[in-house]
Amino acid sequence: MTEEERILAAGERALGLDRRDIEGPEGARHRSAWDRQIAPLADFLSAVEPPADLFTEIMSDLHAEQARLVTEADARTHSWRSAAILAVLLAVGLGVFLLAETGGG
Amino acid sequence: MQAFLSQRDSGRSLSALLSGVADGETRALAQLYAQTSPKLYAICLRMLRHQDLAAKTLRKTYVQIWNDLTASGQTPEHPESWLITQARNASITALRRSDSATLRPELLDDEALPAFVNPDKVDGGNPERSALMDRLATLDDSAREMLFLAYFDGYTRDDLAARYDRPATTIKTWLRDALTHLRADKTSPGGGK
Repeated sequence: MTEEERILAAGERALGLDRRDIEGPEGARHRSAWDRQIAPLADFLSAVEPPADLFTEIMSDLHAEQARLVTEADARTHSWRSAAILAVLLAVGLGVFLLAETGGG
Repeated sequence: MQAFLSQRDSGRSLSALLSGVADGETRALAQLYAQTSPKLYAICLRMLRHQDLAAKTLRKTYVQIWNDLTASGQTPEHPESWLITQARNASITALRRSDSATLRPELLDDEALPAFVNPDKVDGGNPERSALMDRLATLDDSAREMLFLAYFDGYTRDDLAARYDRPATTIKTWLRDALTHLRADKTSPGGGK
């Protein structure tokens, strides 16, 4: 593919005609340049007010996601804590076993 | 691109609002939404032709904007085109995933879709847009129509081939000719500056 073809392929992706992944940083740069160049087309459309409660729903989505992330983080912390406690118990058990073995020998 | 900013003067530029969002300010997100959602919703609604799906897609778009910006902590270099691209990408994804048979009864008629306007009449004085308009004006009608169908209505190459009753390879050639014509600066990628 020549450079010119890569540029035009990026233009096709910017239009939405081709949904293949962009090939590397150069492809991303071409795509970004096209996005910028054709963005003024959006000014052809008259604006339309979205449904009144949509922003409340967006905030609700964000809070739900935040809560999920906190729960996951808590679960990770909890599993680490459990693993640490288990490791300490095993170490103590091993120590007691060794003491008993050496003391008894 | 002044059209975004001229609709509602919030007192903060888009760059400042995106920077606020990147810092995790929900107030900045609220202002960004107030300032940009009518334009982004029009993009979603035009492409999807379905009110609920367009609203759902817009909702996802702002959640994605929040997630991307707060995760990276960085703001895009060209806020307007970045926001438009987010809305268009989300709409294209929704369009390709949607079950058209289920949606068909609720699809909006052409008259109910966001209307096309002459952007230079809405808001004068944007050199980038004026240059693009000049190049669009010198394209032949069918090439311009194809670009609009792809950009606003999410037509694929195959959709266009069916509409114009031409092989997809011919459509590809026509579109590439049109894109070549649109490139602002033939010496730089995509005509970028």
